[in-house]
Amino acid sequence: MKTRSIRIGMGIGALALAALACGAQNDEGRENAFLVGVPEEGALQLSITDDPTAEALASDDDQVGASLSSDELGSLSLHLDAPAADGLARPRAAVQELNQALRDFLQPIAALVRSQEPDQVTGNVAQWGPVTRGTTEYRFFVRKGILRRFGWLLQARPDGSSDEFANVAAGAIQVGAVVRRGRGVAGVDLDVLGEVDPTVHARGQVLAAFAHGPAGTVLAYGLRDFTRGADDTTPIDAAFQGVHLTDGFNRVRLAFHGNLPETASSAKELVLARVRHHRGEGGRADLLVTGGDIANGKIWLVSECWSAQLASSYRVVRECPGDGIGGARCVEQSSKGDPAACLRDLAQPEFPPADAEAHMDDPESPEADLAPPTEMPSGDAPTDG
Amino acid sequence: MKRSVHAASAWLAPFLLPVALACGSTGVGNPVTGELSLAIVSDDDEVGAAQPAPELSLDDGAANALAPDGAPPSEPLPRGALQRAVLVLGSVRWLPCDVAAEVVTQSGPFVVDLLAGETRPALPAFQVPEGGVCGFDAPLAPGRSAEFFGRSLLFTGVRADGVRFVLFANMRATLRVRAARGQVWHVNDEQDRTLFWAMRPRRWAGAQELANEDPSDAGGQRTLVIDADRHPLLWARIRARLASQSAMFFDQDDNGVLDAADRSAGEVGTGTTDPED
Repeated sequence: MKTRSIRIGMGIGALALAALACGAQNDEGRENAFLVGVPEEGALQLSITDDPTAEALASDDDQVGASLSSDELGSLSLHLDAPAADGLARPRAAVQELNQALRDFLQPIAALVRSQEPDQVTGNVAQWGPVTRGTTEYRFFVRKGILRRFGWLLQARPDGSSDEFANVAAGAIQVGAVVRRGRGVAGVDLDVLGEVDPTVHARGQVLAAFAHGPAGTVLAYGLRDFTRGADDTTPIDAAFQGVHLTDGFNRVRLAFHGNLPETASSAKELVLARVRHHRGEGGRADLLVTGGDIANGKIWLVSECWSAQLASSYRVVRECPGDGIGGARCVEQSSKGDPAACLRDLAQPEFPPADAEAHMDDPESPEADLAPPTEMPSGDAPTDG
Repeated sequence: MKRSVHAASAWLAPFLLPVALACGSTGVGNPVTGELSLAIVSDDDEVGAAQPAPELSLDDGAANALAPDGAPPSEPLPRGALQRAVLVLGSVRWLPCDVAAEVVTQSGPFVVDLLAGETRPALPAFQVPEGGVCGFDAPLAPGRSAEFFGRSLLFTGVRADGVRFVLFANMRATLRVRAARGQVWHVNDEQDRTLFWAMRPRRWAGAQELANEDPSDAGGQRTLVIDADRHPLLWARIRARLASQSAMFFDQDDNGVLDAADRSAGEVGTGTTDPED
């Protein structure tokens, strides 16, 4: 019954998504021409199960243009009462932290441009602000190029300061069929943003490339010295990747610090994760775990599958020599459930690269493989592509 | 013939006049009433500490177990310590004393800047239902303007040691204000009246409570950023005090200013905060 209601909910969610896309397309004629190229949370967010709370996904308040909701999809998992599988819960927490860090710079942008005409338009450049939010003064620029190409730049400084505005985030997009969707790059310097806005706790840099197409979205992030806040003393340098297909299949690749329950103490290990999830059916995580309680030269492999209700159906933990993760020298540490409980097309493990920053090919990507930019974008409109 | 019509009109006038007046009222059979306005003001004079809360420094677990009751801090913030105190109210829902009557809803968001003394947009006056109103609910809601988009509370100032404190967040709560026991907020005949909602932001946090918390560095300035994750107890106390440390007064002398004449008539209502986590 629960599964059936979830499927019905998914159908409604899919219809809502379709309506959302059509609505966004139709809004173009009514919007300011510069808004077409403005970044927003829904375009850059990573997701696994499309649960808006667990993964800090975009809501109406994150939309730059017409008010559109992603709550319909979120309702899929709101009524699930079993705890989510550990192999899913921890990656979802990492997704939430990334999405929240993106919101740190995207919410001021939405605040400046939503329902507001630019304060100044000079040639092909529109400016919104400066506006003081809390104790920080923000201003935002969009540069319109040719053929639906846009660049954008967010600047900030402490309220009352006479210092120059600092560049805190920038990006570029070639808009596709839907407004604010297409191919492009974005970057936020959370170190600079946190210096001028004390309410921003995350630190480091997040650089992203994205491509939205009719079959789905492809995202690639480069995280540099990323921490979620001052209490997080273990910065991450890693590549995050995501493929979200419109038929409800999400594949992500992540890295995070967290305690593996099967280890001896609560010390945090470094976890490299490949997570695949079919909305309303279930999913699988394959993790490479090092550091913390795990001896030098060893690597622990964790595979876990979960049901449509996100409850664990199979989990196995193996210790392997660091130079060979799949061989017979691996020793099983623990096992629960039945591997046959995994979805048929998720029966085989798919581990991420052992190098957290190495690119992971995704042959099923609908928009080809993407790599994040190697440095902060300039904010200029792209001139090729 | 014309003369006879005039004569009949004169004869009927005493009977027709009340009927005409009744038809001009708000509803069938309702008498004409005046309008009630709500003015939200910062009350800086009445800072006391009748029943201070114990000023504890608790870890997160203990903080979660403790439900702040909105008692005032033992030592309110000194004058001049506050820089901004702004609330965003999603709506104000007036509750008729007659539970069968319709709730009067004023839809916002209303940005209430207490230190600047302004509410944007101004709360409209409304016609009081027959039987009066016995309170109102005012949920906090994220603002829509660029300045407060996505946030419902801004509370900033400077501690005694020079450390800046900042609370700028989408706090979720409903502020509930009720008429004092046995009282009804009503308007006589056609006389308009103003109710003052006197809020006391200097009581939202105690000087010692702020001093107990560790600041961080931002832009070379020591700053205490108050949020629900890092300072759950202080967060909960501030939320509880928004309404509980407020009071209601009628504008007795009708001069638009909360003054001694209004205070001497006594408080006509009290508040509580209902968290919505």
